[in-house]
Amino acid sequence: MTQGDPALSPAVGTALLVGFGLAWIALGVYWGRRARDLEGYLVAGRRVGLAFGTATAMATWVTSNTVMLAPVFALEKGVWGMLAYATASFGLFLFAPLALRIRRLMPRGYTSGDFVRMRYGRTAWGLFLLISLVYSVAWLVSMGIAGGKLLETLAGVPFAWGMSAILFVCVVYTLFGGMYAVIGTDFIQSVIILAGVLVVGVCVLHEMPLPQVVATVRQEQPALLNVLMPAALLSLFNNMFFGFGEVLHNNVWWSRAFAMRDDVAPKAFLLSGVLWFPIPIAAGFVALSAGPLGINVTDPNTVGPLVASHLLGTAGTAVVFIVVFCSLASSIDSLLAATSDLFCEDLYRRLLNPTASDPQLRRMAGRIVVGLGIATWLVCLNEFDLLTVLFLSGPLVASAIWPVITGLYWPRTNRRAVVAAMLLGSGTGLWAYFSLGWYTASLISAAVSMLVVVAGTALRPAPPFDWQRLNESPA
Amino acid sequence: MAARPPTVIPGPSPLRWLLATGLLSLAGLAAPPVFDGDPTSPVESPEGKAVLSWSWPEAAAGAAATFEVQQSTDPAFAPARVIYEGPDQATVVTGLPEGAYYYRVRAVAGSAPSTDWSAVATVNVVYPGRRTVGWLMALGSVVFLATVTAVGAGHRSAAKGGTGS
Repeated sequence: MTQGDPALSPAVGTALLVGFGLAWIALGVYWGRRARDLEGYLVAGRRVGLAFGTATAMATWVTSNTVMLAPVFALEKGVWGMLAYATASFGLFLFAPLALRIRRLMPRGYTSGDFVRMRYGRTAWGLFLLISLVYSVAWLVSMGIAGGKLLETLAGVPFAWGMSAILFVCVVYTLFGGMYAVIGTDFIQSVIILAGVLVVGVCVLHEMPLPQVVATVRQEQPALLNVLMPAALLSLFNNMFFGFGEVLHNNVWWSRAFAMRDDVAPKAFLLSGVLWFPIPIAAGFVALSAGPLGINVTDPNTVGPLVASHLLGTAGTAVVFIVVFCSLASSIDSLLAATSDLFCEDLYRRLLNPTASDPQLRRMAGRIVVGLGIATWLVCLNEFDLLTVLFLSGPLVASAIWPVITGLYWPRTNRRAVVAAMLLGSGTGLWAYFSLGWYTASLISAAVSMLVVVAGTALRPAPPFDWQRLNESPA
Repeated sequence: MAARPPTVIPGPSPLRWLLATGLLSLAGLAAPPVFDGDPTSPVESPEGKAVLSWSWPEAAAGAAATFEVQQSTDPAFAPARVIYEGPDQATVVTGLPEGAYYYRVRAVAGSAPSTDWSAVATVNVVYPGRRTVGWLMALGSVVFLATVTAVGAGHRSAAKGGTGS
């Protein structure tokens, strides 16, 4: 396979990497001064306002997958593919009212694992933690690998160096600043991402007018404009439920809900969804232009940056490089912080050292961030194709949608039904992944999980749950 | 990978003339490119996508060349459409309507072929059946509406001071 020369020289790529990396670390250390206690380190003092709250949710949701996979969806599934990817924003919309409920029920909460343990007991908690940890680690590793590959494609930075640099920067500023640093840098990164996507989108539209793209695609790739394309139609619901599962279960989003003021949380999640929605559509349109521009795509995973650098030259590639770096950093730091919270609170404090003091917990949280960074780095060095693993985690997280919703709103949800729902939902979803196609797995999982929770609760309702039990005192 | 201008094969003019006239290929000096995988086994694609990659031993030996890939819905390639010309040894075709698609590739020097066509690779685009799609879409709609309703009803109930439905 012939490889083209990267649009940026390795020197320029390295300079951008070092410049932005140092800026994030400096800002992380600066904001980290505000994290004087465990509450500050883990949940930013629970006083995050609307602007920072919206920015951190939006920036976290713009991942390397948004930059790389949304164009792939458009390239392979056309118009419905673009919309299917954009439905991931519905997860943020759905989480808005839940965030308010979470803040009110658990004013002193730290993790989504805490909620499941107190609401459903230890069996459900163990299963939920397993699902959450598998998903979080897979996401973390896939982003590390994606980051290394993208920096190699755009600037010729060797994979190992680019991947290591990104992970090092994120580990250092998350370590020093905790949630304060994550939210602060997310704010700046979200502004850069939005501005960058806008610049690239306008330039692409200028170079390749919409009617011309539509005319060429209609002639040469007609199925991409077919509103009844089956795989694309199915991916619409599948992606939506994958997104619901990701947002509703993962501690990345719960930790943000805990960090925001309770009156701010729902508005911030709604606004972030609105801001996020057009990003995959813009990224997807870039990919649809590949055919009309006569660009040969050899690897669909890099079609977005490839078309952008082809159209926009060195300057445009630099913008794409910065947007990608920001989107990776804003998601990796959030995952590091939230997964560290989950290990620290749910495994260390609950299982290993229930009498740990705040300083001990903070030290442990820092060690977990470093340990996660090293573990991720070691796995990433092998360049495993973990994108498949990430998609495989779709049915796992989709099985947690109904247990979370009914756990927050229904007082009589059956605990055994919740455990069965996660097991059966995950199992049937994985079966569908291999038997019917990946674009059905999360849908099947969510449907089975819903059926089991509703039927189990209707047939054997639990005694009414005392919501006060969720307002548990920290150790 | 961006399309590039055709590569001109360096060398003395008699060789270029032989390549340009196709005589070199007819003399059997250059074997055609070979599609990766087993081209005799048709590939099923439920997503309207064909992923093609090929190898050409002469390229590995240092010969510069461009490749021409044709697509047709007729195994005899009448008619055929050129879907790629360039130096890459892979291409991905998307947005194919349902049906059988045939592909072949050859190396090209200048404006003339320098090899015969490769063995034909077949991709059968078979979308999921309408009945399957229909019930999955209906299922998706039901689960979506139920999920949104559960959250909406719970939110309203909690806002009224209740403890949920």
